[in-house]
Amino acid sequence: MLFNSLDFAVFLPIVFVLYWFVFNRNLRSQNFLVVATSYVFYGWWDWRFLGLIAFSTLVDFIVGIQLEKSENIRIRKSLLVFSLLVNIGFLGFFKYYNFFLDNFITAFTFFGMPIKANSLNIILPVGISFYTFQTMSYSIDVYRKRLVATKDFIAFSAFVSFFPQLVAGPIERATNLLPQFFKERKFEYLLATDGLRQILWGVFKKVVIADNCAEFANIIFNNSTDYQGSTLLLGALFFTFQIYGDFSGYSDIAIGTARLFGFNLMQNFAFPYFSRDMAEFWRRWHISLTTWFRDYVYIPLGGSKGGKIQQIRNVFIIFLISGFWHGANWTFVAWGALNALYFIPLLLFAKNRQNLQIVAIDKKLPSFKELITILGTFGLTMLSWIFFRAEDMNHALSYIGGIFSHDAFTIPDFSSFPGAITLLILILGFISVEWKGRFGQYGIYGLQSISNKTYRWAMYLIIILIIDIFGNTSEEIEFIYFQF
Amino acid sequence: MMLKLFLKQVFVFLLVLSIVNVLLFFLISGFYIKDYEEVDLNYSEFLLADSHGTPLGDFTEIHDVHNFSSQSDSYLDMERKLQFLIRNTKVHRVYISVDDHTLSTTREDQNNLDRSSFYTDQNDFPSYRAYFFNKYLKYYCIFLNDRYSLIIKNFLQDELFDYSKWGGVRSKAAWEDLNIPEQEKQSLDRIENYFVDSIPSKEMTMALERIIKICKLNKIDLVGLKFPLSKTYYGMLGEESYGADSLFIRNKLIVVDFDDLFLEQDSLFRDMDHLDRDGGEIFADILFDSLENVLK
Repeated sequence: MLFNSLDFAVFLPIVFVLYWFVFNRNLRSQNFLVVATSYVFYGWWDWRFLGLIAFSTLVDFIVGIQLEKSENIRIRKSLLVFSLLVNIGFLGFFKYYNFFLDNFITAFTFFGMPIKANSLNIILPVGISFYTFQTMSYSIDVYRKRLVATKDFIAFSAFVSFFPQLVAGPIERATNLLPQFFKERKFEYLLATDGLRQILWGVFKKVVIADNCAEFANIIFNNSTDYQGSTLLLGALFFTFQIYGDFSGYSDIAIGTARLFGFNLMQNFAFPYFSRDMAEFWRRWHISLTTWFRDYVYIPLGGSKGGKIQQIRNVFIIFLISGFWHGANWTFVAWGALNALYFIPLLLFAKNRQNLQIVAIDKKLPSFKELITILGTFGLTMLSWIFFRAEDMNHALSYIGGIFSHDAFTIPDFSSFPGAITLLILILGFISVEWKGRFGQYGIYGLQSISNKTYRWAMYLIIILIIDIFGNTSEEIEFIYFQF
Repeated sequence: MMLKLFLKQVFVFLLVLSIVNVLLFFLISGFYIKDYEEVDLNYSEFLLADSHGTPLGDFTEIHDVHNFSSQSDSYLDMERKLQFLIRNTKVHRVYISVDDHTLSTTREDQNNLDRSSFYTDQNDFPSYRAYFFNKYLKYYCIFLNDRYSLIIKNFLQDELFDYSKWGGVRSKAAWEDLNIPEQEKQSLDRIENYFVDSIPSKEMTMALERIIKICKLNKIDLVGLKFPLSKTYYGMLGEESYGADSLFIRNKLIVVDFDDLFLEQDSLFRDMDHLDRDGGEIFADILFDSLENVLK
């Protein structure tokens, strides 16, 4: 079920009413409802993969209990390895089987030993990269004794399958989300209204910004050889906003929806396009995944400790894995490697933690220097997104080559893209709202502090009208991160 | 307590949203819906067509035919209108467009289903749910109707954001004033827009077949019309057609083909395949005078 569908618009109020009015007698029944509705939510897309979630849940639940019982280090290690193998095994099979197979065939052929093997027609289960990482975080935390294993299977199932964030995150840590399933839930007015507001902003980002940008970005990327440099640049710009609007929009809807049910999920995006350097960008982009890799891969590898070579190695490992996590394609690996290259100079010159606070913290506008650094970081990000969006490496390189051709400084051919100017104006408005709201959790977070209700509601109505008029609602467009 | 307050606030907000919806609906109905719902039920002969029929305006009434055409009407819309006429008039003859593009998927996509639901009743839908959704929810709720949003969007885009119009409204050149290469370019655009697929739309074909069947059942004379085309467009179109006229001929129905009537008179055209008002007036006279002989 898509968040931007009529089905969800009917589903959500029904679940809300059942949750607060029918299943509100005790925690267990509320958790049971969360599991049941989450399975309905997921099964709406493809019920055949429900078994996969159920199996993953069962494995990690049992592993958790056994880890809790045992003090023997070897047994504990074996249990953890078993949990990781099951989860990574699922991920490896569904997501990477064909990729590795194809590359093995290519490699053997290259060395004069052609082999024959048939690739499988595998459907990638939606959200598998997200919920497997979430359950792995549980097993690792129990193994590290940072978390006491739960004996409540329903609560654990609810933690794994919680529908707002099941298919595209935020990838919650067991230490943050699981305890919330054991806390008595009282309806909190401010939390719920804040949730609705965040959902509204998420829908705006998805339907107005991302889906409209997608239309132009798709045309330009799919026919990149037909366009001049400036139009290719425009296509990259549209994709840059598409991916941000799409993914952070999803996160906003997920976090907002969770709030309606009394849950607090972690912030996943913190205005990344206002970052002044790439290190800041990676502290603000897909925070739940970045911190997952930091805590469970980067720090165990030694992090920024040790010699320069070790530091560089760790950065490369983390970014390459991050790229590979996004998809089984060399373009994602290249995207990760490019970001590592952006990051390493900052690390080597100890500049990676110089911008910890949001830009222009006590000012309305950025200084000239800040503006230049923001634009520079944005430019580097935009360049890396080309690898992310391209079909293959040749496409990415020819696209970039096209941008840097002699006609890069001409005016793009707007007549071929009716509505592109309107979209640029909308993007400009969107950036302004995000800039004004950069101190909060999301763009229009600040509206809650406006005491004049008429003004507040007028703002909501305007956003709803913009979504209705300018939103690309002709079809329900899937979220990009569903494929990861 | 807090939950009640929350629900109350949500309810009040939805109420405000409904009021905004009503206001916008009235605004849109003024220039989008109102004209579409105008029909004179005192006639027994009607013309059903898409934008090719609209230039004939009320010149058809001189010949006792009510022009019930609308821009972008598909056969699904015409079917609804036909059922409405059967329920509300003593219709005995219907002239319907069987132009080359009318069975295209483009026409299937670009239709008036949101507006033509006005002419429907429960029997026109497979379920009560579909009837309620189309006839009332989608019709009155601007937030559920993509076409309403598109109209406002296009209006704002054209008036505010189209930089080519800044500093004065650009008027479209008359068809006859265009040079041949420009006429060819526009004609090609139109052909590429209509003739995307190699086969006709299933949905449109089935709708036209149903129209034929309904007319037979209700003893209504059905006459197929092919509207005049400009010389450039006619030449470039060649044999390209989805064959609505052939379907008529297979069903032993009359087809009156006027597509080459004004090949030497570009001055009567608004664009490559639409007559202007003067062309519509002249064509209405020629059409119904000649039909008198054919239908005798």
